[in-house]
Formats: sequence, C-alpha cells, structure tokens
Amino acid sequence: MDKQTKEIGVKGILQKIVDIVANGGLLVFMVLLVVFFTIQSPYFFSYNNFLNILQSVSVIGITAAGIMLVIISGGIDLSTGAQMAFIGCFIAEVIIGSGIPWYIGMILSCVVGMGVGLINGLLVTYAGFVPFIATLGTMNIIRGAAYIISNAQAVYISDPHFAWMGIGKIGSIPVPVVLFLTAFIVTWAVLKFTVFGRYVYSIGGNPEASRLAGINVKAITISLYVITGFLASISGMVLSGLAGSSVPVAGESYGTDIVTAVLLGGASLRGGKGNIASTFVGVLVIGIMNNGMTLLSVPQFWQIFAKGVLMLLAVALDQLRERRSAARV
Amino acid sequence: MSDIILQTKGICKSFGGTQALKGIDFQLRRGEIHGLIGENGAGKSTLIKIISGSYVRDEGEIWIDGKPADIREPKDSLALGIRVISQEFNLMGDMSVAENMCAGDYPCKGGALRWVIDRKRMNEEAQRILNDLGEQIRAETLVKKLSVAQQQTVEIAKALWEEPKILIMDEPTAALNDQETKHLFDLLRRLKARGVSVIFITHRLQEQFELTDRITVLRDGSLIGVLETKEATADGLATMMVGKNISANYQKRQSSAGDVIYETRDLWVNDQVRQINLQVRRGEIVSIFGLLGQGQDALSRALIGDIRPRSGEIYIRGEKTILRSPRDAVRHKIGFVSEDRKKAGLLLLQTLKRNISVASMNKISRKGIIRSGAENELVNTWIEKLRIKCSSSSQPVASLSGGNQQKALIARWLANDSEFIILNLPTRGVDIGAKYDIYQILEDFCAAGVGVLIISLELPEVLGVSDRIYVMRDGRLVAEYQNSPDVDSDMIMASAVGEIQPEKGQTGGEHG
Repeated sequence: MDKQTKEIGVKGILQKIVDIVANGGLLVFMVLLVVFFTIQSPYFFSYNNFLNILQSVSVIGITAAGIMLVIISGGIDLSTGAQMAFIGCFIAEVIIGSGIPWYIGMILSCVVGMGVGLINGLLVTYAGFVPFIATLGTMNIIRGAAYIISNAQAVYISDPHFAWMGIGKIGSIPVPVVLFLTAFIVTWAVLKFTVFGRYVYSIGGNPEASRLAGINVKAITISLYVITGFLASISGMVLSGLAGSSVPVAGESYGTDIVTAVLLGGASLRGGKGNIASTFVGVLVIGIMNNGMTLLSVPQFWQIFAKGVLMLLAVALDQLRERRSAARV
Repeated sequence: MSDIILQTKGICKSFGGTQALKGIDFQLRRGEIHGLIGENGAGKSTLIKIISGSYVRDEGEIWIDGKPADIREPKDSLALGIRVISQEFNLMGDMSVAENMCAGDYPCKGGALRWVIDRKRMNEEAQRILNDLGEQIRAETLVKKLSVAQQQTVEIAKALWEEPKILIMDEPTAALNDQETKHLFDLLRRLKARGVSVIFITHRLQEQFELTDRITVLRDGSLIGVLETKEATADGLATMMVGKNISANYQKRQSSAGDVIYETRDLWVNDQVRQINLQVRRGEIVSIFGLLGQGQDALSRALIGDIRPRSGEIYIRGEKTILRSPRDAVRHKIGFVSEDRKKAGLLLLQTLKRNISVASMNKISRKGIIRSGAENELVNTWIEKLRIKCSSSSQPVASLSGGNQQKALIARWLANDSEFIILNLPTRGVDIGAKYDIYQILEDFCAAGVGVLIISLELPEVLGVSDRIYVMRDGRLVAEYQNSPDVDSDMIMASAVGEIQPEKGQTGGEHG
C-alpha cells in the first residue's frame, strides 16, 4: 500500500515535469541551460558572449524562419545547409573571379538560392515527391556541386562587402543579428496579418480541404520553398562573411540544426502548427548549446552526439503534445 | 448464468470541464440485439469506448456475466469477448482477407516450425467463418479489391475469429446501400441465434425498428429511457432524443425557381460517369439520388473543376465556362461541401472562425492584409444566422459536434456569397436536430435565390427537401422526377436499383 502511494507520487511529479516542458517549458529549459553554463564556465555569462551567441546563431536563424513556414505547410527542407555552403563557393569561385560588381553578385546569389527552392517546390508539388526525399536529393546534388566548383578548397573572399555580411555592424548591432531579427519579424507579421499566412496554416492542416476551398496549394507550397532558398542564400553569405572565405564543408550540421530548432519550437512535422516566438527560443537553445559546449571544450564529436539527442527530444515533445491534445478531444 | 450479459452501473466520464456521461445504467440481455440511439454528442460513442476500454471511466462499474469487470484497456475487453466494429474500418488493404481476420493471431505450424505461419490452416479457418456468414468472399483475396460492403463483412468476420460474446456496431450502415443493409441484418440475426449479444448504433430509426429487440435512448450524457422495440414509435423516439416534440417527417415549402444557374450538357467525366445533363435554377433544390458507388463522387468533383471532364460543356449563369480547378469554381461563386467532412472539408487544427472565413479572403482583406474587424463581423453574422452552437468563434472546430461542423462548412460558402452550392451527403453523421436545421438553412437561402444541388443516398431526405430529383445509376442520370407529395417513391427507388427501364419526366419533369 505504502509502496503504491509512493509510486503514484513519483509518477505525479514526473507528470508535472512533462506538463511543464510540454506547455511552453522550452523557455524554462533555456533558462536551465543558461544557469548550467554560467556555473560551468566563467566566460559564458557576459554581454559580449551573448552577442557572440546571437551572431553565430544568425546563420541558422535566418533560414529557420523559412523552414518554419515550410514545416507549418506540412513539408520539410533538408537542403538548406548544403545551399549555404554552395553560395559561399559560388561567390568565391564565380563572382569574385569574374569581376561582377558585389551588388550584382549578391543578387545573383539570391537568385541561385531561389532557383534551388523553385526546384524543390516543383519536385514536391508537380512531381509529387515526398518533401523529405526531394530535398534529400537536392541536398546531395548541391553539396556535390559545392565540392565540384571549389575542389573542396576554402578560398579567401577579399571583397569587403561580402565580409560586411558576416562581421559588419549597423550601429552597435552585428549585421547577421539584424538580418536574423528582420527575418523573424517579417515572418511573424506574415503569419499573423496576411492572407498568405492563413493559407500556409490551412495547407499544412489539410491540403485537400484547402484545395477545395479554392486555395492555390501548389503555388503557395512552391513559394515557401523559394522563400526558404532565398533565406538560405542570405545565411550562406553571412556564413562566408563570418569565415572570411568560402566554406565548402560548412553547414554539414546546419540543415539538421535548423530543423531541430523549429521542432523544439513546437512546429509539428504533421503540418498545420507552429509559431514564431517559440521557434525563436528554439533557435536560441541551439545557439546556447553550441556556444556553451564549445566554451567547456566539449569535443566536436560529442557536440554532434548531444544535438542528436536534442533532436530526438524535440520529436518526443511533439509526440507528447499530440497525444495530450488527442486525449482532450 | 445470468440473463444480463453486460451491465453498467453509474458510469460517469468527463473531458475537461464537460461531463460526457452522467451516471449511465445500461443493460444488455443475452442474445438480444439492442439499439442505442441519441443525437451526436449524446454520449453513445463515449459509452462504447468505455465498455471497450478505449477510455477509462471516472466512476461506476461494469459487470459482465454477473461479475464485475475492470476494463481499463482494449485488451481487457477483448479478453472478455467484447468486439467493436467502428465506423472506420481497421483493415490493411494490401493484406488478404484471412490475414486481416486473424489480426496478428496467426495459426502456426508445430514443432521446430512454430514461428512459421500455417497459411493453409489460416485460410481454411477464415474461409469457414466467411462461409458460415453466407459470404461469397474468398479468404485469399486482397482486402483493397473488395467493395465497401464486403470490407464491412470482413470486419465482422474478423470479430468472429474468436467467437465473441458481445458485438458492438457503431453506425455500420452509413456506407451501405439498402440491399447490403438487408444482408447485414440477416447476418446479425444469425449471430443472435447463435447466442451473440449485439449493441447496434445508428441514426436511422427505421433500421432500429427493423432489427432490434430493445432500444436505449441517450441524451446529453444521460440515459433517457429503455423501450421494447415493438412498443416504440418514431415520433416518440425522436422526442426522447431531442427532448422536444418534432415531426419525424420534414415538409417542404413551395418554391419558385428562377434562371438556370448551372447546367451541364453531355458531360463525360470518366469511363463510368457519362452523358450527364443536369440543370439547376436559382431558388431551386435539386437532388441526385442513387445507391452508393454510382459515380456520385466523381461527378461532384467534375462539377467543381477538380476533375477535368473528357468532353461536354458546363454553363454557369448561361455562359459556357471551363473550370480548371476548384479555385475557378470558387471564383464563379460555386461552393462545394464534400462527402468527407474531416478529410476534405474542415481545417481541423483551426478555429471555427478560420474555417468559415477561409474562402472569403478577398472580402475581408485589402492588399493581402486581413482586416480582423471585418472578419469577425462576417463570421459572427453567419454563426448567428446558422445557429452554430459554440462558446465563441475562436473555439477549435474539432471540438464542435458533427452537425455544427457541417453548418460551419455551409457557412463557409454562404459567407463568400456563393450562388450555387453542391453538397455531397450533406447530413452524413449528423444528428436529427441539426439535420432539420440544415434543411431549413438550405431552403432559406434557396428562397433568397441560391441554387442548391444535393447528392444523397437517403430517399426520405431527397423526398423531403428537393424540388426536383435526378436518379443516378451506374454513372448516368437515368431518370428525373418533379417532386410532389404524391410522387411515386417506389418508382424512384426502382430506377435507382435498375428494376425498370429508364424513364424521363415521369411526373411532368421536362428539360427547360
């Protein structure tokens, strides 16, 4: 008897923890992370380091805004990490050498990213490929293309305009942080106030019903992949700006980092759900993890290991929420 | 051995703040067919789910065979010999009938081969059960190759794999035509003769009268009464279900039809659906009546441009029009309520408000920006007009009853000023009260000049609401009737089942 009540007690406490984490507990988790790293490392808790975190997380944060839209619409895009690497190589190998002015180069880079997005979108809508497979394919193609044009060599990018994308400042705020916040604010406004945003949620929740309600499901789906491709190009420019060179091997983990961040933020891979504020926290959690583990000199391989665990946790949370909401109906 | 095989005592169940069951004392006698009726949300499904272990009761007891039974999980109820056949089938299309029937409980070979499935024995046993049911289904057939009715039989056969004591059927006839329903009833009577007790849930009172021994009525989570079927009347039951006196037969007002709003000329959709000539006028309710699977779904999709017809013409407001997509149809002010509310109608994750406004974006937005004031006004107007029961327009649409969900879908098309609305099975899975509300709504808008086309499998519905009736059989419109109180319903049914030669204009219906 005694044992039984004790078990219920433990179960109750576990249930409480699960409740907290499932209901916006991501913020709590982030605070716990901050406390942990502050105790562990004397360098962690400082204004400069926080700016550092924001700056380095911008690379995935900018694209995460687009990925979130894609995931809400019921899709996924795995190719963005490879796109970032490719854009760096494209700038170093093609733009810089050819004497094209820097602004045309930037526009061309964006066009390339949007082109990749367009291909992803067409594969998903008109060819009817599962988004996971379609973008897995383009991911490898683009990664391969980055190696081919760069011969897997990092090349110094001398043009200061491209460096500015990574290390420049507007006022006292780093350019990447400005781009990151802009991407999130615009996405927030689009989801909250526009017809387009409404349609994104509708398509993710029920594509068939959306089509019958007169929504142009294919066009909107394609546009989401194009937006994501555009944002991945910006991320790619920021990345090579931060590095000062093209980085053909870069972004191996970025694609999955972004998806992890968005899922941590509560978007559902079944589509129809997701909000920008939680995604923002999800991105920060990834940034804090990366930064903290590096400060603690956690070996790179263990960092990858830890982020794998985090990704599974994010999916487990999603399942948990799903089950709880199913139980409520 | 007790005469009562299943008894519940004071079953209570709440979800969040709402009490779904308020102390249910239900009794099922050994070897009886017991009808369970009530409006949607009355608690039928909740009660069944508690008996089958899908939900755990908050309070109360379940007694099986005179002994208390602690049912907490589906496997508990399975062990007690309870089998539930729900509206949605749980069959694997790519597996054979026999494999589906044994559902993991495969007969195996002996000795060292005890991990190997004994296919021969499995097929023989399955075939024996199917033959017992008097079915012409082969055990080796893949389930996906069977008709809906046959799949239902497989569900029943699956439940019989281990002889059940109690069989619970939740709306089994929703997808069946009359002959198939009759066949199902024969089958249930035979099971009854073998001592199986059956709980039978359906909205259709006629079926309750035909099949059951006793009827239990639920309303708002309470048990309202138990009647011997031979003493029950349709009006009496309807009154018990809704708690107020309503007529079981709906009577239609007189209508005055205007211009032709939608017309097809010799439309060929696919190999089955062909030579479709139909016409709907403003202010007119037209029905297409037919048995299940006569090509109604393909036709409805062709009418809104979701399927491109092979040939033929569509005229909207007298103008020849090509519809390339449902979006085109929406632009031409055509609304479509599909046959499957959840899969092809509702945005289930979203609020009632967004479900109503989704097709009206150009009314409530400027340059792509939604004006939330305009949206609220539009949505609230229609919630009020259609009397949709909800706590607020921000309530998740998934938490509404089937009837209110259906009203929301109709509101979607009225909100965007549709002038022609096609409804495929408008009252499927909708309780009686909401059903009459829906008929009333359609008539009101009809009177305001909207054209309505209803695709229906229910003859009383067709006779009750329509001005004109087309009969669809094997992909064609084989007959047309002007509706009137003395229209020959036997004749309509006869043309639907194909017992008589197609005959147009039987009671004065002619093409305009």
